[in-house]
Amino acid sequence: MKCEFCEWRCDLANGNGICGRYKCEKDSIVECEPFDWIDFYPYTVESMPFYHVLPNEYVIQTGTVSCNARCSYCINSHLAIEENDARKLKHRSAESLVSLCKQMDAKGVVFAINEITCFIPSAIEVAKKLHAEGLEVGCLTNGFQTEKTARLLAENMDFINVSLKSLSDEFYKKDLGLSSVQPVLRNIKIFNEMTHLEIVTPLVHEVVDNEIYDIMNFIYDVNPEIVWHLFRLMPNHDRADERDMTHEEMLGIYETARAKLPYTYLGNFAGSQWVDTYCPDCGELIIKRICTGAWLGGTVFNNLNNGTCPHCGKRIAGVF
Amino acid sequence: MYEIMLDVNGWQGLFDFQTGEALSFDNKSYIDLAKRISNKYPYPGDLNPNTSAWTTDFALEVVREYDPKLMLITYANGAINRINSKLGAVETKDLELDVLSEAFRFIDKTDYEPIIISTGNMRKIDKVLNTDDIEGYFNTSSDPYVGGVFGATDKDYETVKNMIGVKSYLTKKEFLKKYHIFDNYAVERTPDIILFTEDDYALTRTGNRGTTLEEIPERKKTVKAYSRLPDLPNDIFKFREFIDLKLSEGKRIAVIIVEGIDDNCMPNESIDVNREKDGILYAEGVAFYYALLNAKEFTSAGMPYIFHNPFIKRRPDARYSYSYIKTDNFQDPIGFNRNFKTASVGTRSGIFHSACMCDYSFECHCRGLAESGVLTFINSEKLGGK
Repeated sequence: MKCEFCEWRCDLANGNGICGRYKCEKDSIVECEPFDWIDFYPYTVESMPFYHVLPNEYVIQTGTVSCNARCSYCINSHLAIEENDARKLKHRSAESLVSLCKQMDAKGVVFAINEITCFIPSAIEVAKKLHAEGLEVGCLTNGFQTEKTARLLAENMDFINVSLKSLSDEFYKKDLGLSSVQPVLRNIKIFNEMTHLEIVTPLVHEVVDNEIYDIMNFIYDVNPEIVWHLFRLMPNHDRADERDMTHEEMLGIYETARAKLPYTYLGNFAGSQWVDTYCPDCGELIIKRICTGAWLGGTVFNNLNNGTCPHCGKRIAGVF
Repeated sequence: MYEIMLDVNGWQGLFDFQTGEALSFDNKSYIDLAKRISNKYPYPGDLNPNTSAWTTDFALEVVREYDPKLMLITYANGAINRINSKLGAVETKDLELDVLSEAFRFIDKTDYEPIIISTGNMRKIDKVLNTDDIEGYFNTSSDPYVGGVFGATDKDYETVKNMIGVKSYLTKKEFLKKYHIFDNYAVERTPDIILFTEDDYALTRTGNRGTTLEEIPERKKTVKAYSRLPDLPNDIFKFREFIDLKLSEGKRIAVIIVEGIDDNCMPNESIDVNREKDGILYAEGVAFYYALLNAKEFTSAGMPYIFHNPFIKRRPDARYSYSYIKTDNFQDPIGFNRNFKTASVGTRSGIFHSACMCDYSFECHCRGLAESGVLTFINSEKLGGK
C-alpha cells in the first residue's frame, strides 16, 4: 500500500517509509505515533520566521521527529535525521493543544520543528480544533508533498512557510536527499493561491553562486508580493566545517532582491537591520522588527492600519 | 549610555544596551578597539574544537590592546560540548586538557595573578524525571535538578507530591517566602510549583528544540579553585571580597572560570570551594556566575533559576534585548565602573557580560548553539562617550 502524503510515495507494506512515521492499518495509512510531540514552546511568530503574520504575537511551536529529506546543513538534525533513543515524545491531544494555547493566550500553533508531512493527520486535526476556537495555525515545510497533501495543507493552514532551497533537481538530490524540486515548485503555486505564503531560502554557497537570482525570478513570476526570507545559514551537520557567507555577499543579494520583491528580508543573525517592512508603494516604514538571536526576534512597532499602509492605504500582504 | 556591539560575519552593528536601538559609530573612538579585535577573531562556534584557543587568543589581544587591571575569562565550551555531544572518556579528557592548557597559555603569557575556578564535575544522566502527567506548563531551568509548573492545576500539586524522583517541592508562596523574593519582576517569573529532583534524577531540557542532554553538572556541594595567592576562600560567596581586596593591594587579577572540567583534572594544588547556600546549589548558569563574581544570591538576578514564564510575553519596548538574562535588578557587577580598567572575554553567552559589565565585555553571541558572532558590552560612559 502506497503512502500518498509526500512525493516519495513509499510502499508501506513492509515498513514505515522513508520518514518512518506511517504504517498500514486495516487498509489505511495511519501515523505510528499520532499526537505525540517533541515539545511545546511559546515563541514570537517572527521567530519561526513569519514576518507578515500577527506581529509580535505568541504561538506555540511544536512538531515531532524525522523528515522525508536529508539536508546536508540541517539545523535540526538531532531531531530530523539522527537516531536518538533518549528523545522522548509527549502525548497531547488536539483538544489539549487548543487548551494550552488559550491558557497561554497564544494566538495559535505553528508546526515548525520538523517536516509537517511526517504527521499530516495529527496536524490537520489540530488545525481544525484551533479554527473551531478562532485560533490560527501555520507550518514550515520543505514543500515535497503530493499535490493532494499540498491542497489539504493549504485548506487548513492559515500561513505556510516553504523552504525553497534551490531550483536544481541535482541540488535537491545531492544536498537534500529529495528526488526533484518540481513538486516543491508546483506546491508553492498552490499555496500562493490558497493561503498566505512566505518562502525562506538558506544562503548556501553554490546556490548563491549559481541560481539565487533565478529563485528570485521564480518567486516574482508566482507573486511579487510573496515574503522572501534570505536566511543566513549557519553551517551545520555535514557542512559544519564550511565557511560562513560574508556579509557583503548576503547584503548584495538582499539589495538586488528587494528591488524586485519588496517583502525581502535578510535575517537569522542578531542585530540584522534588514528585517523591517516598508510599504512597496510609498516607502513608509510600517513594521520595525528586532532580531535578537539567530532566529529570535519580535516586532518593535507595527503601524499597520487594518492591514494597510497608514500613509497611502496600500494593503500589505499577510495575516494581520 | 552603555552600548552593545555585534560582529557577525564581518558586519558590525552598534546598539543601545537598554533599548536595543541601532546607533551610529561616528565619533566614538573607544569603539575602535572592540571593532578591531572582534573582526580579527570571528567566533568559531560553541562545539568547534578551536573555541578554547579562540578564547585565549582573544583575551591576549584584549590585554595587549587595553591592558586591564582586572581580567575575567570564561571557557564554557568544555561544559557546552559535554552537554551537547556524545563524547567518549578519551574525548572528554582531551577536551578538559585543551581547556586547561589554553587557560594556562593565557597565564603564562601575562603577568596576572590567576584565580582559576571550575563549575565542578559533570556526569551522564541516569534517570529522567517523568513529567508527562503534569497538566500545566512544565518548564525547566538552567539547573537540571530544578523544574517548575506554570498554570498548575489542583491535580498537579498531587502529581508532584507523588512523583518518583522528586526530593522536595515548594509552592510559589512558600518559595517566595523562604527566599525573601519581593521584587515583582521575579515574583511573576516564579512558577506555581518549584520542584527539586533527587540527586540521581534530572530533568531534560532545553525544551524548545527537543534537545536531549548528554551530560549534566554533578550535584556536588564543592568545586575546585586554584591560585598562587594565599588564603583563597573556600566559599564562592567570598570570592568577590577576596578579589576586591587583592585589587586594592595593587595586584593585577585574572579570574578564569573553566566549565566542564572535572575535579580530578584541576591542578593538584586546587582547594575545595563550597557552592551551596540555604539549600540551593549554585551549580550552573547565572546563579553560579552571580554568586562567584558578585557575591549575590540567585534571587538578585531577577529570574529565579532563569525560569522563562511562557505566560509573560515579549513587550515591544523590551529592555536588554541582546543580553538574554539582564534585568534592571542586577546590582554591582564586578567589572562595572571601577576606578581601574576591566575587561572580560568568554563563551558563556548572555550571562557573562551581564555578570561582569566590564569596560569591555566580549563574548560569543549564541542561543541554543546557533551563533551570531561576537557581542561586546561597552561601558561608553566610562570610556569617553555620553
